[in-house]
Amino acid sequence: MGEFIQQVATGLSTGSVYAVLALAIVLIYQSTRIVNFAQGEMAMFSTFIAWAFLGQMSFWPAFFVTLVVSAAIGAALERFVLRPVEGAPVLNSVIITLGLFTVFNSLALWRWGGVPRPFPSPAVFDGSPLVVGTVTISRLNIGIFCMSLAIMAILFVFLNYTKVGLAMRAAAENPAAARMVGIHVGQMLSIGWALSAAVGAVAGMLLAPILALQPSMMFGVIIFAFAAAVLGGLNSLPGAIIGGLVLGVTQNMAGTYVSPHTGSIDITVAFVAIVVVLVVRPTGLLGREVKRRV
Amino acid sequence: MESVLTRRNIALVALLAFLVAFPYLYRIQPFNQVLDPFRTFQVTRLAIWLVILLGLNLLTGYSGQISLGHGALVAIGAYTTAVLMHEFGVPVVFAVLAAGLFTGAIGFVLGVPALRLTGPYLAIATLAMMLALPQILKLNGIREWTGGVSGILLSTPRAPAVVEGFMTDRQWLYFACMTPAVIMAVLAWNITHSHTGRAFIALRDSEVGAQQMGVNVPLYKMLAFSLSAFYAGIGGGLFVFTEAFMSPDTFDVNLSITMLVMVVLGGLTSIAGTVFGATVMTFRNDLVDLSASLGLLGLPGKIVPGEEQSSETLRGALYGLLLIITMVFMPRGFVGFVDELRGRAPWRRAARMFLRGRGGDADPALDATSDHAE
Amino acid sequence: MDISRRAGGNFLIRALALALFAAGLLGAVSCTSEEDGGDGGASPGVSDTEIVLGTHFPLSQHLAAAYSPIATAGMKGYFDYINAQGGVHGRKIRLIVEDDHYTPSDTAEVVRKLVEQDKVFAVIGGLGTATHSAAANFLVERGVPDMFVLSGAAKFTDPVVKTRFGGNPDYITEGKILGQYIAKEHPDAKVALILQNDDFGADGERGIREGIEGSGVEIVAREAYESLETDLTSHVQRARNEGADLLVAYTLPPQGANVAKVAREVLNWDVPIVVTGVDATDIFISLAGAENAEGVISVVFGKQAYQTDDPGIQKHAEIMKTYGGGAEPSNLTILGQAMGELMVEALQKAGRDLTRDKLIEATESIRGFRCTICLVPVNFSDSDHRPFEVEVYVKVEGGKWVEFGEPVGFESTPE
Repeated sequence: MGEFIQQVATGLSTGSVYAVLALAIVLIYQSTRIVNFAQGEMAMFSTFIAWAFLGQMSFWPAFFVTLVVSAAIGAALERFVLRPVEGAPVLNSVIITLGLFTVFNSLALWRWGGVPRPFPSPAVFDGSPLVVGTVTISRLNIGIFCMSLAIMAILFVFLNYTKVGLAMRAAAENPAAARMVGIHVGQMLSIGWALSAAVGAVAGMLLAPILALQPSMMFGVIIFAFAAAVLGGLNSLPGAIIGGLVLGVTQNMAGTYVSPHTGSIDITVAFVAIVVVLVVRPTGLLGREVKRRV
Repeated sequence: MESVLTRRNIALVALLAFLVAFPYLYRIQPFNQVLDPFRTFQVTRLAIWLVILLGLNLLTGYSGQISLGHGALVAIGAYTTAVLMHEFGVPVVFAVLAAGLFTGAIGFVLGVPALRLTGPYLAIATLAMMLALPQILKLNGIREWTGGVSGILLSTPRAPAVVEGFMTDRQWLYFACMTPAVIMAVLAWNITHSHTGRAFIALRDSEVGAQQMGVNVPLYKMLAFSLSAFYAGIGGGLFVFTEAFMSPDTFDVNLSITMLVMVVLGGLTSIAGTVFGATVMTFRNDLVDLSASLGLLGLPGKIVPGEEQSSETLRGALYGLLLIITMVFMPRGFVGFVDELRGRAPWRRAARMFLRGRGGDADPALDATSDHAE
Repeated sequence: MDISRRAGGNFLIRALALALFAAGLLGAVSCTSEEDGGDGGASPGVSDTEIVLGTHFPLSQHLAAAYSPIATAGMKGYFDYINAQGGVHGRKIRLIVEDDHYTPSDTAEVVRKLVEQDKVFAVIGGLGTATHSAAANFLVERGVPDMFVLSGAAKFTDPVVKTRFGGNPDYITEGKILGQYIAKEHPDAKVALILQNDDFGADGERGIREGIEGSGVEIVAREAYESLETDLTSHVQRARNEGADLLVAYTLPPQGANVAKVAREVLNWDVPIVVTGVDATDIFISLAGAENAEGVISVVFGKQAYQTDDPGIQKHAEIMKTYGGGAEPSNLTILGQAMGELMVEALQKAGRDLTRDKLIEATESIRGFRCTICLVPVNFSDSDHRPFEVEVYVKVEGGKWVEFGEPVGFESTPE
């Protein structure tokens, strides 16, 4: 029993790592209907930018400057790279984001090299881990968990209760109708990319102390983050968090109770679980049914 | 009976003759300037990629279902072939065919969960297959067959004694792959122009509409998956036959995603587009080399001062940039781009004949492919 | 449409017949008895002024970062440095690095390109087990020297293949050395293995098991992770629950650092940790944090980039600055230079009248060669194609890897 609770707790912290990047994926999907495969690499690039700023200033100023720079990069990408293919089939934008993936990876490798570097965690998350009975969780993991909840709450309020947020969603769901009521669709898409790039940057800076800052740091996470976003439902922010946590716990449970008998099988079990969930609920755990256009 | 001497048929004969002559051309002036046995190897690869990508295009292009897990099916085909040849000494022809059928059967079963999924949800479900496979190949009980982490090493394929004097091993492999590739391409063309192909397209355009037309939607969706997997299995079988080596890392997520990229790049819903996609897939390293030789890689170093790594590290950026530029300027892939040229440029006819292997626009029945590429 | 299709079918039969006929004709005309891209003499790639070498590395896509400096800075930089000194026997070395994306199918292709188009004299430092496996047999068949394969897989050097030599220490030998340490220092240890779920981990496990054989050491847990996973908290926790009192990690540096950090910092578990030589880098310490890494045991054959008072490392830094494109000296660039030095030594010994056979012969005659950045001598013979079978134990002390004890190993070259 002690082991079970331990592994659930560890699973939750692994899951919150997936969740925080999944939030950025859900955000961009909600606001532009694009699945951004470059999200992880953009986050990695932002983290390198933060690292460069850390040479000049302390953590929190560097943190916020990085958010601004990342948002600007995101908006620029939307305006100059994605805008030209607006209206083209979805697959085209998918392939453009795959192109961006290798561009960012390669630029980071060229500029900063491939040697992993340590990245500081903010001082509030340092210190001895939390111990409850047999369960220990590091402060950083608790910090990541809390930050993802906070980001989710802020975005949720923004998208559901502010004028800009509602306009963004309208622009994504029905661009033509949005234009009719005077929403500047292009601007909304740019804001969507800017915001998700900023959320990605937060994810990158939070995860870098665990993953080590290197051009390939996000490769292992992004795939699980996608899976988490899809599992929770691509148009649900709480879904991203739930999806991440469920995925993390499933992985650990399989690793603890199945792997010893079969050989390492945690990833397989986690993904089979996702497929099963999707078959039962095709739009994820918390996703809404999207109207099918005939 | 119309004359067999239509322009299209002449072009096809020329193409076939060229394919047959290709592995010998490097011995003859002036072809030896650009060709050598290595190019024969690459074109053999092209034939294999063509089979693999045709399968993906049948699924993604014709029936509209995104798959990021095609590489897993190819790997299953390759492993099936390798195990049959290695453990049971099955002759390669039967091993590859069996691999195709086995993978096709697996595809049919995998089509079941796909029935309810669309778009990104389907993409992740298929990607899941790709991610889980390497782990499955190493499981206890399975690794006795698959060789676990170290994979399966087959003996190097040799030209049979019958063709000795006519073909080197390399040329033999070329024909051993090009022949099935041509057959599979003709088969794909026939499928897409049959009732089944039209049902796939109807399904892609609107499921509800297809249903109203009397298409059995679940059956055809599963059929699309199964056909696509059959192609993947044959492709994987040919691959492992020529490579004589298969490991859990041979087909990874990256390669699987690249397959999808190449199908879109060539042009969905088009056999000619798939040929183009397979060509780019084969020569993508050479393309980057070519662009790099223009001195593009050194440029950023001149613009942004400071310490950085060797300019070789920018190859990825160049590749990504080429992808983005292609998508921006050819949103419907290469074949779509050629279609746009039609009616605009005086050299359109030559370009089309060259690129699509058929003449002019005199044959409306053939334009089914481009009509649906919207 | 139906008519045109039927015509097409009929036509296809004719076309195929025609094509077959053409094939027969062409086949008869062209004489094909010679082998494709035959060697054309015993030393392709060697001219009066140049030796062309080739290698395959990931230069783009996600693994490029982790490995490419070995080739693009370490090996290439060292060769350029040698060229600036006048080369080897008056010949400059040109290294062609082909991008294989760390994908086996691409490796098979680029290695054929190196041999058939670029006509390289030899392949040096081909990287990766799965990748190099896809090309190794081809190189053997063509008789191309396959020098210093950068893979820890023992299969490349055992059994010995005449034209192939290993590069870095193989993980079985290394595991045996580490296993012996455990058997000697912790004779009753209950070991938990944390392994990457591929042949790197599998070979390491085999070596460790061989090393501890006959001692009281027991393996109580075996935790494998996929290379995609970076947070191993769950694995370390399970190892502890199984009652382990010693951790062995066959991991890459980020995961290895994670193991140390989780054990010490999160679980507050003061357990002895032994890691593969792959992790014996400054990166490991900086990622884990000096306090968490303290006392971790490993083995090395080369020096560390931060040993800046060592003349070999000083020279290396200088070479990297001038010839390595300004690359930061690291374990990667050091490994690259070590391979470069081995190659230059072999070429020196092979003499001015260079052939592939002579290169192999010369390499097999290398005895007691100590490269400027290595800690142990290199010995080859006709029955031993492994350069590094002897390694030095290191331990983290005050944030640095510190050597201790005598070099240990299984040198199979007779004195």
